[in-house]
Amino acid sequence: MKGKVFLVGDNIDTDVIAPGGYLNSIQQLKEHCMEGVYPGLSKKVEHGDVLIVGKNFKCGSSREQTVIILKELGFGLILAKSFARIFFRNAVNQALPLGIADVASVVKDGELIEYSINNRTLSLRDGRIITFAGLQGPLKEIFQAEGLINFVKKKLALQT
Amino acid sequence: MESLLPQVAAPFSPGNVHDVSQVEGVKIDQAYIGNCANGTLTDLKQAAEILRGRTVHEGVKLIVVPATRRIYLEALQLGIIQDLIKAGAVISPSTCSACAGLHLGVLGKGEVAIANTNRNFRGRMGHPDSKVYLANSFLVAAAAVEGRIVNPEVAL
Repeated sequence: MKGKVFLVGDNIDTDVIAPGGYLNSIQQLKEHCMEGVYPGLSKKVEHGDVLIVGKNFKCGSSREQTVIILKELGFGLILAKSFARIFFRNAVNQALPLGIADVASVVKDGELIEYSINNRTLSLRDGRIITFAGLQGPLKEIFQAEGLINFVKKKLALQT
Repeated sequence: MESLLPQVAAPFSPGNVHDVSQVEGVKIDQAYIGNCANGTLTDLKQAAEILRGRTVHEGVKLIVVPATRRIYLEALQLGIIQDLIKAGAVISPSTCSACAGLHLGVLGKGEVAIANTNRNFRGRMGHPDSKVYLANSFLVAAAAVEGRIVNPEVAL
């Protein structure tokens, strides 16, 4: 996969990603996603783009809408130095592809970057290939089932 | 502990904590007491202790949100709500309200609020260029009276 890099900093929180005033509409949340730190993001993002962030991504309120809008906006991968706990699980439950790697300082906003979810790799400008940490065990199974609801449905189907 | 001054979290993180002396004098447009976690009867009592016999500063909105209907009723029975209303507070029903930027007190561009709530990230209570300071209920009530952030132990 190839996608444009969208680069934002540390401690990006729920209120910035999904501002409370627009909670009654997923469409409006998408339009205003991260406008406080990255104006115009929703108009620029295309399917397969990569969001690269620093530490503690999506701290603050839980709001599952943050995962839904990041997915619907088209992000094919979110790479962070670390994720806040609730977001991490919400993302797994909705099968939003995540990876853990400290690469915010070695990529440029807007650059085109190649990556592979299956191999967990990111190809940098200088030719280096970085391997990022990803899901393992049951979390990986939930992701591969395309989310928790599908995962549970499959389990239930197996039982009957 | 005796030497510890009241603490205030400045924008845009609840972790951005300072002694009140470092943010004293910051002018506010709105004071907000309440929400699910911080509209306890204790918070309302503390606010009333400051506001009894005083009035909210001209140009400042004071919004109080009892956390639950039970707390709202208890505060009414104790006369706390009456004291707050006499001082100029607007009492909101027990909902998320402006704490999450939803309604009744959503901040406009450049507006500054002090709140006893738990989050002050960018855009939390409204416009991305608004600011929220977090403090205890005594400090929020005192700021509502003075129109700026003060240490009530000194200023009132």
